[in-house]
Amino acid sequence: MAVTMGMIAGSWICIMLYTMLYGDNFVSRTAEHIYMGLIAAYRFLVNFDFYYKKGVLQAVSPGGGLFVIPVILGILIYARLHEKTRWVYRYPMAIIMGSMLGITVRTTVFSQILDQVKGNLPPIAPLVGVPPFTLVSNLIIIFGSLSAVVFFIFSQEFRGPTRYVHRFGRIILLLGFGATYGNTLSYRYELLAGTFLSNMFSPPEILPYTFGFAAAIAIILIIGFKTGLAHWD
Amino acid sequence: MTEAGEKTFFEKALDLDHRIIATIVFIIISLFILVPVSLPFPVSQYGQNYYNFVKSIPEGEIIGFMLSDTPSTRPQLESASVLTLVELWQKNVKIVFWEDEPYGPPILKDYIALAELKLGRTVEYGVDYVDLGYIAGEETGAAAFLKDIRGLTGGKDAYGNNIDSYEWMKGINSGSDWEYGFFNVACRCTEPLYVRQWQMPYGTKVGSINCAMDLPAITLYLATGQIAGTANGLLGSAEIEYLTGNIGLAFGQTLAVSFGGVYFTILVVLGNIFFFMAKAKGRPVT
Repeated sequence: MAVTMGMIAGSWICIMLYTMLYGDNFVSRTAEHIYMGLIAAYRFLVNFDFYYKKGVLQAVSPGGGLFVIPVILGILIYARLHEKTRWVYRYPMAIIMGSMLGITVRTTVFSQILDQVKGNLPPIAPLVGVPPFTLVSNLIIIFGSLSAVVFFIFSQEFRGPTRYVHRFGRIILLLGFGATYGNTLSYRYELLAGTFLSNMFSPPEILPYTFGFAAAIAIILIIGFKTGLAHWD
Repeated sequence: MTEAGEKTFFEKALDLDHRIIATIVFIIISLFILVPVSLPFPVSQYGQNYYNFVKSIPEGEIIGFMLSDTPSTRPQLESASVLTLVELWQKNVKIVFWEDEPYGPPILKDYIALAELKLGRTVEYGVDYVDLGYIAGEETGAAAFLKDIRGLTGGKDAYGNNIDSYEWMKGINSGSDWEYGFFNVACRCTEPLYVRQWQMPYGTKVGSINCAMDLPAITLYLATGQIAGTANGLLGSAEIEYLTGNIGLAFGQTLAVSFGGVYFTILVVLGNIFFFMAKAKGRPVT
């Protein structure tokens, strides 16, 4: 496969960004500013296109009168850019927050409370007629969930046998946080491996450009650190 | 520290510079991508359930597919997304795409091109799929879209064509018109959004393509069946590659990530051992 300028730019920007791991330096900052600028411009363009096609054009089409309201509210967001009109942007923001909250709460009770509670109890977590490993898992799910809820009862002190329930709840929560941390770590490795594979090592013809640029950046940084232009913090 | 003020081996190990740790990670990841080795590969229940869900979709079904992958998560989720499309199009399933992330539209085009390569035929716009484009507004946007597709899009697809010009789209106007659906939410943890606004109100059976980081947040949804299956991160992609017999991009990365994980686990274990050894010797440790 032929190596394109886009592939080389992708690889080099990645290398420049990763130099941040060796201390905040001008190379990583340059890449960061290029990246942020491009992303901001791209996101603005795509969202503006949506606003224009699904909002403005519908507002001026027959029967689309109600679309005038979101179009005006959208413009008012930019009132915050001027000191004297800053207060105006609170109105569209309040409407966004309110409608978002209303839409979210509408089905949350069923989808995230009732169904989730059901998921922690038989028959979804059965205790009869299941293999021993499943039985132990389901017991942990049932008692772990209940104990974790008990941990958040702050209105009374746990004494006697109940303190063990409280303590078990804390252990379950810590195990949950540990699992989340492990998954997050795995995800970060996946991001790293994915970036390496798709941006820096693929296609194989790009390898000389990647390693050549990495070596050049290493030399620039070493010179920078030695001369005090960059700091090894 | 010793009486002479020098650090012991354990103290030096505990104070290991993060730049050295990062360099070793770079070396391990690079090495196993460039020089892969063969390891046994068991398929998890999550991967198997997701594959079974894809397989359970009947011939010729019309389904919804929200695809919002991002450039950074694409290497992990590309295989799962593309192979899902291949499996669906092999059954002549018609797909209605939309995206709730600005990065979605160009990535969708790439995925369709990759799926065509795997299928060995071209998929025809308006016959095999329709793209309704980027839908802004996160949850409110998704709720409005799934309630009244024509109301929000003005009856136009991503290219400005009238969606009623496609015969099979005439009966499709809300989430309830799809019995099956998929969402690729990358790593934004927005699976509950689509359970709240799609699966729950309209009863659509949904499958999720998501990053590994999201798994703890959706485990219960999987247990209750609110999400029918998940292609969970890179491992999920590798599992779909394995199950469909299309070994590729995800497999190479899985190996690198596994060895990266082993390296980190060793660091954690050694860190704990050194911590307690230094503490047992009465050294001040932080």
